[in-house]
Amino acid sequence: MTESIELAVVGAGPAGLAAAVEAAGLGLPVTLVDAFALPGGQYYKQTPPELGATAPPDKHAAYLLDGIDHDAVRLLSGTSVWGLFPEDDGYLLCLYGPPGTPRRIKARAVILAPGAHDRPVPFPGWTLPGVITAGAALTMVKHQHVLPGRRILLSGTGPLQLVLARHLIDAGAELAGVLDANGFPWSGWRHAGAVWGQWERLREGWESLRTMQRAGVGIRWRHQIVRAEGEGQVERAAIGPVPNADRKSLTETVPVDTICLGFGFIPSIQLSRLAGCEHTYRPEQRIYTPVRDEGLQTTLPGLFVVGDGARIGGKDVARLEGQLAALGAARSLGQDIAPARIADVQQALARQRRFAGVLDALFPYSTHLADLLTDDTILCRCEEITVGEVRRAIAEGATTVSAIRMLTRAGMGRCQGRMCGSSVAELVAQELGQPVEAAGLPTPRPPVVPIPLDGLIDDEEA
Amino acid sequence: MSDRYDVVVIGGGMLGLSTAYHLARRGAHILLLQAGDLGGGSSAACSGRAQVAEGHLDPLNLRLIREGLARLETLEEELGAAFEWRRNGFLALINSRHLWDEWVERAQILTAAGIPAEVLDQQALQEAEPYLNTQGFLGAAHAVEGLLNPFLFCWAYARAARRHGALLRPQAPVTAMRAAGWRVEAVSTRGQWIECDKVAVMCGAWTPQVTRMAGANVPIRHTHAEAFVTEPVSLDLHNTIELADFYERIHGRDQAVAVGFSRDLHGALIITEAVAKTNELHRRTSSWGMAGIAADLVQLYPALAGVRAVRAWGIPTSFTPDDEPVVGWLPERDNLFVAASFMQTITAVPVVSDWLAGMLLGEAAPADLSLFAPDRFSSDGGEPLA
Amino acid sequence: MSVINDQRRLGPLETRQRLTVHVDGQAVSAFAGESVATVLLALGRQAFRHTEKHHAPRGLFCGMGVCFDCLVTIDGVENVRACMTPVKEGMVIETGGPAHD
Repeated sequence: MTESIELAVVGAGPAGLAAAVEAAGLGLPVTLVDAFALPGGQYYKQTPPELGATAPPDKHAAYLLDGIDHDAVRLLSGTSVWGLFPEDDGYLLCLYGPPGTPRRIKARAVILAPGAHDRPVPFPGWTLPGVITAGAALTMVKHQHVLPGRRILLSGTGPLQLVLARHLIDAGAELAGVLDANGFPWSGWRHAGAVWGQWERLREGWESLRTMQRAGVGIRWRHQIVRAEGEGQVERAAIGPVPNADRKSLTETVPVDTICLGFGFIPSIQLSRLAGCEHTYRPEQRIYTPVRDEGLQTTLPGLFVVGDGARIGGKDVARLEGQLAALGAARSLGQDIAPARIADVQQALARQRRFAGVLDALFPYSTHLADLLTDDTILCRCEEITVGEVRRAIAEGATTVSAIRMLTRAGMGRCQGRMCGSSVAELVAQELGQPVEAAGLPTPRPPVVPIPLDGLIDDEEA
Repeated sequence: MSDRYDVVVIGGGMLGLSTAYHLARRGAHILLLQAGDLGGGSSAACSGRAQVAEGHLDPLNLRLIREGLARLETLEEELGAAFEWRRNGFLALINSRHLWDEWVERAQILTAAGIPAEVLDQQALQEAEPYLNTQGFLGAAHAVEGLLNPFLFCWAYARAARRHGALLRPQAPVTAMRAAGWRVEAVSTRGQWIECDKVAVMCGAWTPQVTRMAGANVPIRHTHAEAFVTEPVSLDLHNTIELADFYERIHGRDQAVAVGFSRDLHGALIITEAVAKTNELHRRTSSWGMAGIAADLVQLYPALAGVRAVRAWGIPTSFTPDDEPVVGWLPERDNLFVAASFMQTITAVPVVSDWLAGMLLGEAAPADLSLFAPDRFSSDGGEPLA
Repeated sequence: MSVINDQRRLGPLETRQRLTVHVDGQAVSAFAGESVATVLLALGRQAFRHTEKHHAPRGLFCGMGVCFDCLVTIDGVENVRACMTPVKEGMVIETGGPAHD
């Protein structure tokens, strides 16, 4: 049994929320599907109410989270979209959620707002318990009210690390250091124009720096984690300079129980790839991204991708893109949308994109994997495949990500290649001296998230 | 490269790679061209079953299975590479009287031919697989077949072929052939013409489009099959499970599901198979395929309901009108050879590839292969001529 | 006998709804709204399971359900993500898996 709707939005972070609220405002009914128990995604993540109320991160979050409580918005929480298949007059979505959730929905237009996940950066010892992503640390301290550890090292790049540092310090953790792989952003002054108006962000950054200063925690520029050590869990972190071509330079080894990796994000392109729209590799961000027109429509008509799920841009780019796509989707569904309305959003979006561009320029993901990897470093966490095994496969002629997957099993585990895919492609590029895109991507396959067998069945009453 | 090859093998699946190995062992100067990754076509999409009991029962096919199975037992050693080879039981669940009778007869023939097989009643079936829902089944046919990792199997042949001097090129689709009179002179890949004495086309479902480049037709058709794999799971499963009415379920239908499953060495379940009629050659998967397979599986083995599917795949599978393979020189040219569309391919490959290599180099075929002749069908590709 | 380890928990606990879960056979206090991962971290546990091949310890990594490293057995069901599972009264949590060969 497949219900037919006009518009589906996948993901309830800022991009998806904005799309849904905009659509609702236009009188366009929308089904908003989100994998988590509470809407908000990562940027607007909500603390479970039983753990106490926390204020929304900004006024837009408050407005949007409120805004989906609307007759025209049907929110399906705790529901994963595991398949997306183009059909003659729209798209078939395969869903899996709590009892009573429809299993199949046919939508004339689809806006994908799947967000991103922390970039997994491999290094010796990174699989030890205690090595977590910055996102995991932030979720734990801010929304679960628990310290992930007591003595914590942050390694990554960019201002989000400062936000995390502040939360951890305020929560009583001891910060062993905040390492930024890039150098101090001396050239930041050149971007003053783009930063103008970003008062909230600047204030937040300032607060974070003050908190760190009071706690005696400084930023160590041009440094990153080299090795995590310990018996059964993280006990020490070896730190080194950037670059570190022979991986031998060690600045020092510090006792820690937790290492947070904050090296940016990778868009979750699994659904957009499965649908079959074109993607391209962006070497400056080191990500694959769906090709979109200026209305954020992909190469497939009626399919839009917005927010970090297309390209990393932060919460305000996400929000405005969601809005813009909703306007475009409404227009494609026959509604009359005033060009001025679209122009307004595009203007605001351009401003936010400029700022996001500044962060990219000042804090690029610049880490050379070669500086980190040894042959016995685990590359594929799920299947426990080492760098050495992948290198041997490459030497034998497996020059594509899919061939390496066949030969070594890297990418065959439960995470479906999310934790190793980018590293494998970059390793191939490095070993063969070729661009990352030459290693390709594996054929996109459903389910894009692991689904229990009885959840695949097309049966609403199951 | 202006090199000229004895044989260009087009198709780098298990058949092409194993034949390349045997050609190289015989000292031939050969090049293999594969459109995508080595072993990456239908060979990468199978569940790794070295079937023994489900093929044709004529002496030629029985010989292939017997000899193939024997070769598989020592093949890892021969190729110097592991591919997770092991013997494993196989159960074909029987749900009708006529299938029961068919299998009783089949089991007798197989056993007499040196491939032990038997038919179990429902009680024996339940004892063999305690968690299987045997309701509606009269019992099952049982034989001991083999299982292996199809990727590693292909790569083992690829490695060994290279060791013996074969050149293997992935990411090298053949886009044209150049013929002069009765001979194919050269094949083109990536804008480069490669000259050769003989061309062997072993592309499974893609064979017809490749042989057409030389003006030759082969009676190979295809359907589209889907399967998927789960996360690793704790499971007390001893046999590969299939349905005896597989062909009944699929025959004549536009799309159908016939569930089967086996457990790989990593603990994951490989679950087959949703089949659809199509003219297209593609690798897409559908929602109905996974859903249909899952529904049937959960019915058959309820304890698996919560196990997560991790990855589905879809691939063309080739067949001929009489379900026998096509092997031999094509009549349209002097030097164009084809081999494709085997049943129980994995089991047949180790011995067939040796035969094919010999035939390509002018040796006499070890058996009468007219059963597999490319021109055995009438000119419209319909019923066999004799 | 409930064990509570408040060293890592933040904020006022008195206003929360306390419940009891079982971690590797031991009764432990937890609070409604917490994930299983939170309860384990609050106990000072960072290793949640061991891998098949190298028997290597693993725990929380991504915290958002995509890495599938934080797997534990919950109420007899294996391979459940601790970070995505909210605790419930009486939940039985077993760490250290996998159980299968």
